[in-house]
Amino acid sequence: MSSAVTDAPSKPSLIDSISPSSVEPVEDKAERAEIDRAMRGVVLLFYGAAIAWLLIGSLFALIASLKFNIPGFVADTAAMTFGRIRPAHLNAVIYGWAAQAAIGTGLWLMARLCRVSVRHGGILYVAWALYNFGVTLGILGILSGAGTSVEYLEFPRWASVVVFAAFALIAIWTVIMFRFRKPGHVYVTQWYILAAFFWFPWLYATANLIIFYLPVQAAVQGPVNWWFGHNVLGLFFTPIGVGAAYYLIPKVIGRPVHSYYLSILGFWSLAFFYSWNGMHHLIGGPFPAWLISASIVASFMMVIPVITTGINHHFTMKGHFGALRWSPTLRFTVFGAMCYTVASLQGSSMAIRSWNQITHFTHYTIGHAHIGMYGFFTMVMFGAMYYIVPRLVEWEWPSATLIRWHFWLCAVGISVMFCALSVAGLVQGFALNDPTIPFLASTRFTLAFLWMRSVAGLMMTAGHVVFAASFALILLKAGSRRQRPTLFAAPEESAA
Amino acid sequence: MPLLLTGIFLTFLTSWIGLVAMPYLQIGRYKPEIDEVTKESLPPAFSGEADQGAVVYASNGCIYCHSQQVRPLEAGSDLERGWGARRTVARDYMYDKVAYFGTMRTGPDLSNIGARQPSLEWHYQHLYQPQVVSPGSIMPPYRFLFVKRRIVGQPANDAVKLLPPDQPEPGYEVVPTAEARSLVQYLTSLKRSSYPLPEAPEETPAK
Amino acid sequence: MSYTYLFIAGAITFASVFAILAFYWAAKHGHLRDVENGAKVIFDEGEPIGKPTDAFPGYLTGSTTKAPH
Repeated sequence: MSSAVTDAPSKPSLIDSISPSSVEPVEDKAERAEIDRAMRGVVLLFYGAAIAWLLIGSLFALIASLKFNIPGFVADTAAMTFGRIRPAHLNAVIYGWAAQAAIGTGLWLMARLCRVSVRHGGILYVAWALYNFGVTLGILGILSGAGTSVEYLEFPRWASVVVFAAFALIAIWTVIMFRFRKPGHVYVTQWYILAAFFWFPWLYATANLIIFYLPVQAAVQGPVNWWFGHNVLGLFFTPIGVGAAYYLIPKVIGRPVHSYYLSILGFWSLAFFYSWNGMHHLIGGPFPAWLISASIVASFMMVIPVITTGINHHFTMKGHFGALRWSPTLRFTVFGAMCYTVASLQGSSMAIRSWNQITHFTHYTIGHAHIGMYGFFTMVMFGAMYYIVPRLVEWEWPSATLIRWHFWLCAVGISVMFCALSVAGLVQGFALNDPTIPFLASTRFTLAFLWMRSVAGLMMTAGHVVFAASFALILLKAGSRRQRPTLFAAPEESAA
Repeated sequence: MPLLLTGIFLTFLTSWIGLVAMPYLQIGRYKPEIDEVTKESLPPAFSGEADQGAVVYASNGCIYCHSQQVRPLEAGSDLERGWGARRTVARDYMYDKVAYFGTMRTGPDLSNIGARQPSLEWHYQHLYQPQVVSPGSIMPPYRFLFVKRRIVGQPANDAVKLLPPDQPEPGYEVVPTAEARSLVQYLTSLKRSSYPLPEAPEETPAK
Repeated sequence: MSYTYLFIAGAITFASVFAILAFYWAAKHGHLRDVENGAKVIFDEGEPIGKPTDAFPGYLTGSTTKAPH
């Protein structure tokens, strides 16, 4: 590295030096700042849209949840009937919030790690507009009755085509960025993101084509539907969440990943096994037995990448758990990483046939879905946003209080939701499996827990509103401009 | 990079072959079975109106509470609940345009609802006032599938006989829309495992 | 039914062969020589190992002395 002690070329004025005694080579900081500045528009657009959809999706969720306990609630409007609001919620939070948070985070991480500035960034603005147009069309389509009732693929054809086109642009651009990266080692996060952006368009196109365009017999749609549905979680969201955690945790505490070798093992075992899991959604269904058994086996083999990642994160964090006190990013990300382990191990257990007999078709599955997509993925995305947005806007989050409220409302909310739905599901499942218990009783047993779920959802929604407020405030550069941006200051104690 | 991309591509390809291509080969090319005695073609095809009803089923998201797959004895109590004479098999769905297997049972499985509840009247009542027809049910009412209108001349033939307290006031009747009619046609033709198929013998649950 | 077993056996064989070949190729081209250093790639002189890069706003400038909980 150059000795920048004697010659101090013009530093980027917006970023202060941290401790006056140490001298930083300008190249690294300047390069980072330049890349951040180049990514600013695109990432903030994706994040802003994501947060807007999060609020909309949360509202849909509350309406849907209340309908369980009050069946007549806004039931007379066709657009608000449960069968439309529920898929509208799912698609708004998956394609509106989660996918855009993933795209924004993935793009920024790729740019950072490839150390290239945006080339032909205009494509991404077009992709953003196209994507949100497609999602809006899709949600409106569902509410107006054009939904397909194929899970995770409810958008009518004219909307999914637009979404696909937008995503293809993003994927192509990511591969190009990767191709033009600065030479040097390719960090594990880049593998995950490259893989995720490569896999998703292929998944989306194949599933849409086979189910909606080709005249396949209906029974084939089951495996294809769940090959897609599970892979959206496992080969798109999980890699981005895990990849982000592999970058954020070490960067925040300033310590490299505990065992890099394990992370490589984790990546390849995830790539190979995860894609075979899909049929565990259809255990007991009218499908070839070998296929279902293969998925059960694959669901078990998932223990390998999950434990690997869990060990890695835990040992990286070991001795540094005190950092959870002073880093918002770390708090969200570590919570998310722990939920990843819980959700995945729970998922493996749910593939056991005798356990599946009880939990299939119940709220237990819904609880599992939420601890995965929310407890893990959404919380890690919050963590990523807390890290990335200040670097883009070159300003600090205006209020620690808002951050604290955001975290606790969401963390407590998802924990309550998970417990309520799991218990509800088990009660429901045991009742369903006993043919002497009349069917209606199985639903009746769940009602009190579903009220709890609505309350939990209210807390989480409140957390989202708080976060949206923080986001708006930092974009407006509210709050006092501090002398030294504390983002880049070292805490008094070097490690707890 | 080439190794990375190849690996990413190949791991994915194996799952595509396993979960997409193989199912097509194995369960995607059925022909109907012709019953030796009655000469009917099994499974029975849907009528055109029932096919439209399936679209209404999708449009209103019925799958988010109802499944359409009967599990075998060793995988659940579906048969013991009388939800079918046997488990459903892939061929039972060959005439569906879209498969509605479902993943939630907030409501009962509907694979054979046409055999359990063959009465059109029951279905219209149940869609309009589920809490009255099934006390304790949390199914939402689907009143937007019906029209309440003033009786002109004679009451309509398909006016729904509603139970109190939802009966229309004197001079008014409640009539199903075309959507409701096709939906009920679809529901009453759901008899997926009510006929035998060679690959799926009927199972009697042990008492 | 026998095609299925053939397919499964074939898939496992193919995957194993590919994995072994890939491993061999990686070893030959020096990818496995220095694995652990890959973890350090995300640090540089501006953000070195040992220096945390995130904190609650206001926590460390002295404007609040107690840790946020």
